[in-house]
Amino acid sequence: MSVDDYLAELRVRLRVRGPERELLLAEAEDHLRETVVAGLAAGLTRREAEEAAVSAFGSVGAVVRAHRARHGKVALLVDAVFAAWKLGSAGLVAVGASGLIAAVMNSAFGRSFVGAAASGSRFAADRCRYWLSIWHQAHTCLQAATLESSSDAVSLRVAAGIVGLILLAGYWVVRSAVPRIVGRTPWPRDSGTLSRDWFPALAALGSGGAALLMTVLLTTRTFLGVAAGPGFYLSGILAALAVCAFSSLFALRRRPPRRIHS
Amino acid sequence: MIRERLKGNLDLLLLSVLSAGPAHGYAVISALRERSAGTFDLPEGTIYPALHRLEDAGLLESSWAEADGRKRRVYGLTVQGAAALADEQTQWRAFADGMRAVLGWAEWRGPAGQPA
Repeated sequence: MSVDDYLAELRVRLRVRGPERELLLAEAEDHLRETVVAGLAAGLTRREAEEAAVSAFGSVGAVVRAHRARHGKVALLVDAVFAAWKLGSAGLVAVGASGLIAAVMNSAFGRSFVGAAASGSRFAADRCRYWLSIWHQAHTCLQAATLESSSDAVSLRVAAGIVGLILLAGYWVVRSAVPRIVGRTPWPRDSGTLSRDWFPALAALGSGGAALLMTVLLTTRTFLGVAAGPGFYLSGILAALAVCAFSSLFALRRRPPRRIHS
Repeated sequence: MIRERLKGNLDLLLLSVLSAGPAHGYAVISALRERSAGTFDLPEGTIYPALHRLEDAGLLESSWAEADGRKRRVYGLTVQGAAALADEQTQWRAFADGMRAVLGWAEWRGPAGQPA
């Protein structure tokens, strides 16, 4: 393997972002080129010198593993916290998106599609009075409950989505902007294995699991709360499936290419 | 077996090599190989994470220079690193003296514990 091919593979497999990756690669290149020069001085051909340099440096896999192992348990915890922050925020944004889908369903199929109460539902008198005071167009408690539920399915979810966006912005500020401003990472540097490398796969798994759970709840007609319309879960299922598909595509695109040299 | 033991003592060896003066990674690895007469010979690329970890811990500091048109990272011992090295060397001397004493006594007595 030539030094250029080795560095190209290391660039893909190193899974370190931004300036740090470029510095690691620059250091590796300097070492390899200097080893080649020593090999040429010892009488090797260029090809032999490059192969010897690459062999002495170690396989790309071994070097990548060594860089990963550099980070200790505290760094692992930091990575896990960041991963949870990012996943939670993304989840809330997905909930917000399901709220927008619920709004479209309310318009397209009527409020009952999302917010219809389960048959035989009974409501406390004070709740009925409250709902009827808000929803003047409702003539019965059931109608008012349906309007309230279908409205909550939109407003509460969109509010969660806004919170998710704020949290994601906070994540970006802490992860990217703060180290750039301060000039260093103020907390134990982590490898980003969970919060960066594996994030698309984790998001796909989480959203896929959520879609499956909601499908089970829908098909078994298990409703939590007042709303029992099919759109209540369907809006969530569609949002979760969209996140799952997007995350899966992203995860597949980030896989390193097959090694072309043994 | 030597390679496994080396992994647990690599930090001390790198600090010791750099106690002679600042050096870049290639020079550190070459010095490690030469001073150990080839006994310590890890895949060269795997030593850089150890250097970076020592820098994260404040025992080394690095700076970038230009050499042959390439960027070169040069590592040097910090005051904290020198103190850590001195402490480790003291502990190792005590450990090595103890091991030498025990192993040396066993060899002299022979495998069955009888005088050689």
